[in-house]
Amino acid sequence: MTSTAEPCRRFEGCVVLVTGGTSGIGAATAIRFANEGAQVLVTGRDETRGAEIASSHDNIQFHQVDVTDRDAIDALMETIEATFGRLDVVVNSAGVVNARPFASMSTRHWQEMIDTNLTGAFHVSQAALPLLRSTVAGGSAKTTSIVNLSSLNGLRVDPGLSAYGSAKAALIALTEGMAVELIESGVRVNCVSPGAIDTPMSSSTAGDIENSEAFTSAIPAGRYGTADEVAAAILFVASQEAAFMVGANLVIDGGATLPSRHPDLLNMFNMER
Amino acid sequence: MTSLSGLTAIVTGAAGAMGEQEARILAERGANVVLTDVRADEGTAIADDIGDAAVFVQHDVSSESGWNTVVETALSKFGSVNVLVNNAAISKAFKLIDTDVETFDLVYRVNQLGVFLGMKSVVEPMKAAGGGAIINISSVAGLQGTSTIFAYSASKWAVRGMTQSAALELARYKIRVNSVFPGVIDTPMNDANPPGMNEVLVKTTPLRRMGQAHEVAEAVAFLASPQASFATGAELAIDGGMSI
Repeated sequence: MTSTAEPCRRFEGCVVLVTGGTSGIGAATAIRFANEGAQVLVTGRDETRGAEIASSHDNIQFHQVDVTDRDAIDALMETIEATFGRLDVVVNSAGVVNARPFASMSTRHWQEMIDTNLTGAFHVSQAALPLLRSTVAGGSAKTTSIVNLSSLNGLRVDPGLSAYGSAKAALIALTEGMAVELIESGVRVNCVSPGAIDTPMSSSTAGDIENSEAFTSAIPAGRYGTADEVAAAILFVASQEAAFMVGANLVIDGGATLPSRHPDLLNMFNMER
Repeated sequence: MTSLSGLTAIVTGAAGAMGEQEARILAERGANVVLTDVRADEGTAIADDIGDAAVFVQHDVSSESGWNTVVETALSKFGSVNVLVNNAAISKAFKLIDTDVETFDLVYRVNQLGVFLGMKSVVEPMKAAGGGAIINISSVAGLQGTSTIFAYSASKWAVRGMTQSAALELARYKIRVNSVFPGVIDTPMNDANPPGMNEVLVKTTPLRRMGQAHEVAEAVAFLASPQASFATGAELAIDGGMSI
């Protein structure tokens, strides 16, 4: 057998940073990494939720850091280097979404969407880079990895989400640009793009998940995904199993970005769900 | 953890380097595997080496009756069909102006018709099993134009298109259909390339090396597993950054 994978404990001894890790996809990702042996640092703005996730697992610690605050990020990297001396994985999952009509969108809304969803990933990735590189150069890991969380809206923008979609589309471009530059020093950069996922963030735009049939009917899989299903993809991309994946974008959306189908067309072929 | 225990997978082209790794990793994770290929000796040897969880069926993917045999074998030996890996493919390194009809047709029959027949053959058994996962192996040549492998590239774009259509049509049966786009992988298929071409391909890969067959197989195993339960119609490039 030539497989080198250890399916259950792929991140033993690794140090993982998950931004926006106090709820939803970020939290599910932090818990999965911790369960596979990693020391996990979670950042977020909400101290209460941060304390909750930190108390949920021995291997998870919380740092109250806003990804738009470069000084705080730089300080966090110094702490990681001093504490662990290595950094194996950065998951840029900090994000916010609010729907606004384009015509009446405030500059402040535009800036908030761009700052947290796009510029945050830039700051965190650039600040983490020296430690990601030295972890490879020092022989502690074959490669290190950055995983950016884009979105279905980075590929196809829904009404009201022009600012959010712009940030998420740019994050895919940022992924590609970083990937080709950073692979030389052993840092793999890839992207995971979730579709409609049952999290606190999606319910802020889609309303009550239980009553959102209009949303689920547009998803070929016929349902929302779970945060854990996205987390599983993030761990795969970050793992050595994906060692030849560079600059890729793994879409986890139940088929929602496939060309849309009008219900009448499906009925013609007797294909209603 | 990508456990596949209790599942039965069909892997075409399993006597080739990539198909062999796919079959081995799926079996390692607990799946039963039906290996198919036109090359009986090599395929039988690999299945024997994997052990009781594997069986080999000699099979030309462009033969519809052959697919019936493959599915029947999976059902009679292991009781279900849960995963199909459409891996079998051939490559002919010819430019458009040098491609004759016979070459184009041969590449079409294995790389495109074979994938279509495979997907069609497993729909009923996967419906009976309550769902399934189909993984179609396309190529970086299915994401970009190429100047040297015209028929191959055409067939791999077709695989991409068929994957998207099948993902839409089969989602209602909980059959997930995804595609993997390997870049330059270190397999004997590259031996057919003109002198110097492989070196150029590595130079145009940001990771500056060929991928290994098991690196593609890991992506296949992930997409086949319950961990990828919300992924359908996804397009996963395993190419060292070549398609960026």
